[in-house]
Amino acid sequence: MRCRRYLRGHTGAVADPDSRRPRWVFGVGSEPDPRFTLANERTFLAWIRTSLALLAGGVALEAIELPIAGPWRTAASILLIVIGIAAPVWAWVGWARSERAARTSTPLPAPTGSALLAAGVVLAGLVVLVGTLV
Amino acid sequence: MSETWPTRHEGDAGLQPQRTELAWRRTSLALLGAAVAAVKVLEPVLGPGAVLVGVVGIVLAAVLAWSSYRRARRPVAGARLVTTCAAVTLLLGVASLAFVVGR
Repeated sequence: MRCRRYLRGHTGAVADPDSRRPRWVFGVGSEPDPRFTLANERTFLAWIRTSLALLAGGVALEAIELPIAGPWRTAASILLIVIGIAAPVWAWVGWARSERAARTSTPLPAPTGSALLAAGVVLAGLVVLVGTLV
Repeated sequence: MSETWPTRHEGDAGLQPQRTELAWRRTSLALLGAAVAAVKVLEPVLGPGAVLVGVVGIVLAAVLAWSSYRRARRPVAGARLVTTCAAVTLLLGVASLAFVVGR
């Protein structure tokens, strides 16, 4: 039964040689349980949506002229956008490292960029707060 | 590989392909929204060029949605989708930065 086989993980051989890129990821190990691959992809996508939210926030700060002191508003805006630019890079690197770890049955890497993301969002919030108060 | 790929008829197993497809769909819709918003925001800066940015963004969001729809039904390389999605988001970020700095 297909479902059972799927739950037990990959058992059949891959027909044609795996030519997927990057080779750094797909050139090592063996095909993991598809559920790991799919979950890894969803984590990547959550990062992408986070990035889009950060970019929207950063642009909105400048586009909608909120009552926040000019330089503080611009600083918060640029900070949010810089994190929003870094996020897809972290997302891709984290995705690749996790996929590689799943293929080689090694421990998952520590989260890429999540500490910087948290710190950046806190900092941006503080800058907006200061800009509102001054 | 295709033998182990869960199809839509396999009820349980956490409905992994379906959940992943929905995650792609959410992300594609967010990109679509961002592309439409970019036209509105960039119009005073770029003029008609903003429409071009919007059209490119909308087409890419549609491509991602369609590719992920197919991917949920059979195993294909995920790396290309993942890389394209990250690149589109990165470009949108650079456009955002240009907008704020250029103001």
